[in-house]
Amino acid sequence: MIVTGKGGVGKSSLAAALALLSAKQGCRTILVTFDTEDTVHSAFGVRLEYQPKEVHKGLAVSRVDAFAAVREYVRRKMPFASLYEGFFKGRTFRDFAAATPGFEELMCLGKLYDLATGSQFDRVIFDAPSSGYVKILLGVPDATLNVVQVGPLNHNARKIQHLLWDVEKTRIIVAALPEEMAVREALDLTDYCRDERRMAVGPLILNQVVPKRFSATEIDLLAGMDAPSPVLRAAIGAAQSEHQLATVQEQARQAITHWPDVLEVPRLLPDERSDGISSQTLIEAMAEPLSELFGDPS
Amino acid sequence: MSATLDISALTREKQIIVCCGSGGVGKTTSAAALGVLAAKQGRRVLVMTIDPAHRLAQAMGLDGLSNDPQKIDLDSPGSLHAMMLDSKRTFDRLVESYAADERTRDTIFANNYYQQMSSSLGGSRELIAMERVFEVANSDDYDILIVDTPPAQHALDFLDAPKRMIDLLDGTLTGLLVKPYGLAAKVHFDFFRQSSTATLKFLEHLTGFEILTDLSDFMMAFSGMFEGFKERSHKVMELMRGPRTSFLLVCAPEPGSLSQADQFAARLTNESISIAGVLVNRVHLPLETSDGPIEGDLMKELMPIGLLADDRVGALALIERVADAYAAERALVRSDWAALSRLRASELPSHQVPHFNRDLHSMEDLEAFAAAL
Repeated sequence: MIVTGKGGVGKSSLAAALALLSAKQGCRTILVTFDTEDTVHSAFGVRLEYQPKEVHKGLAVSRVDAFAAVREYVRRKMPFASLYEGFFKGRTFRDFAAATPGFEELMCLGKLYDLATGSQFDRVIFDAPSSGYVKILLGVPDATLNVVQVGPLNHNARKIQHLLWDVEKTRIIVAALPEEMAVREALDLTDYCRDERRMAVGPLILNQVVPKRFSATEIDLLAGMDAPSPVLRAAIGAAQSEHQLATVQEQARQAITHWPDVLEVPRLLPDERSDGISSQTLIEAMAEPLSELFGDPS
Repeated sequence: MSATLDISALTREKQIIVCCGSGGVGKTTSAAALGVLAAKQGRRVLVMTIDPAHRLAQAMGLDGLSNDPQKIDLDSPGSLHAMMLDSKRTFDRLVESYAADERTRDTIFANNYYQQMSSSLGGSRELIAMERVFEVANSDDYDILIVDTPPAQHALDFLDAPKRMIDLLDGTLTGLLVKPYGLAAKVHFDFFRQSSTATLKFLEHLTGFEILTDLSDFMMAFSGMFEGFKERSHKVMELMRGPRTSFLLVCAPEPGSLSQADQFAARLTNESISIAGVLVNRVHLPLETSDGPIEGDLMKELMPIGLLADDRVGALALIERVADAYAAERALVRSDWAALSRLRASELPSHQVPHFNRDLHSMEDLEAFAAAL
């Protein structure tokens, strides 16, 4: 399951929520991120490393980077692998990786493939890069096949391609904030994945949905009040801006009523004590509306 | 909080402003708003985006932007143009201007490796963005260029592009791949087969023979252009380090986004680049707060209003909902400013732009944003 979306939509929290949900339903799950600036997972609080680390019963997390993936590949697949260890430290190899477009991406995807087809895990949840970069990433196997007709790169790209296209096994899930531009962009990405990359998509996850608490009449009434104290004015201001946001979101949601499959996750507020939004408790709260994604728990 | 960042001084004085930051923090919209601000200050502005999601076009209310600057309607003493970078076309132009002759040019254009590299893969967008910045900066068409960097895994991938190119051109890989071509072209197959160069053997095992041949062909055709390219890359870095250029980190008020600020500052200092500061978007501004419950006070104020006086139950319910909305807003303010306190360590000047509670996608929205700068 590939979870993506524009940056800042809470993609990583959603992926973590799905992974936790999957593990709780008895599925041996691994949550994978690619090389990112976050070295500590925001929800599970563990240091992310290439070696999978168990964070919950049946749930491991791992951070895949191209160089570790190539090393593992070489160690497993090539004769006399130990002879080549030195190359990973040298500049020539780094230059080669940098000069060969898609090489690092293909190696990372290869690791995902191994995790998905290996026997250690039943499900891989991929906390994928954000929309702009994920398009490039998903296009890499195709592009590789265009450039190389034979050899190990061709072979690996083909394998990965088949898994990505397998609608029974792989699904891409796009998350968006319920705002007009964001939703439009999410639908573009969904179209791209389905039509150009031939992948199974959906549902669209709308994150941080704000409740509509007031009617227009009530907002007018509040606006007309001549509140004497600054605190009251602030409270009324808060009601007005929340209403404005809820209205904008409602419009954006109306624009996608034709979309068959939409899951809404309400905005979760950080509580007094927690530092950020994505403590494990919040992740669990987030998972609730997503439960139908995996069908009935068994 | 850290010192205040004077955005309007930047847009008034600088020739290039580079907006960096990870995706989803409003980088594209910020770049457009900086453009609006500079045009309002009377400058001739070009906003350049490399964003494949076409967000800048949407933000400016246009259907699409092209590789050539387009004029944006704006009531200002200056002027505002915007463009979206087409990597492939810019790269092709570059090859055209540096290739020694037509044959070399056509060989490069026909090369498999070049076709993939120049279109969408890898870091070519960053490199090309740098090239275009250099080109525009040396023309007299604009007073200020505002660059929206590509969405990248790392906020500073943009800066690495020319350096990576130089490293590659100077590196041993180039030597390995180009030298065998002293032999006749037909021999190169045998060369790879029989090469005693362990590195090439290793790379061939790993990737196959074909890609090395493509890469080798490309480097061969490209070798005559190396010097021109290298010189240009150095010049681009000089421009980036110069006093006319400023880098701006665009962030969201979230711990992850703001903790980048330190890394960002350290990296830029390393590269001897001047960093202007941090622009934090969508900040929930502090509210007047009260320690006690506010329901009682709200009640007193709502009661005299006719409608509610007749409907006590309705009034109570409304008051409760206002109190909930107030509590929610306070929670958001608290979490934003807890995150912002992380900036203190970096000592970078910062500027907060309030949360607009809506999508920004028209010129009016951009003008409102610019006013908040």
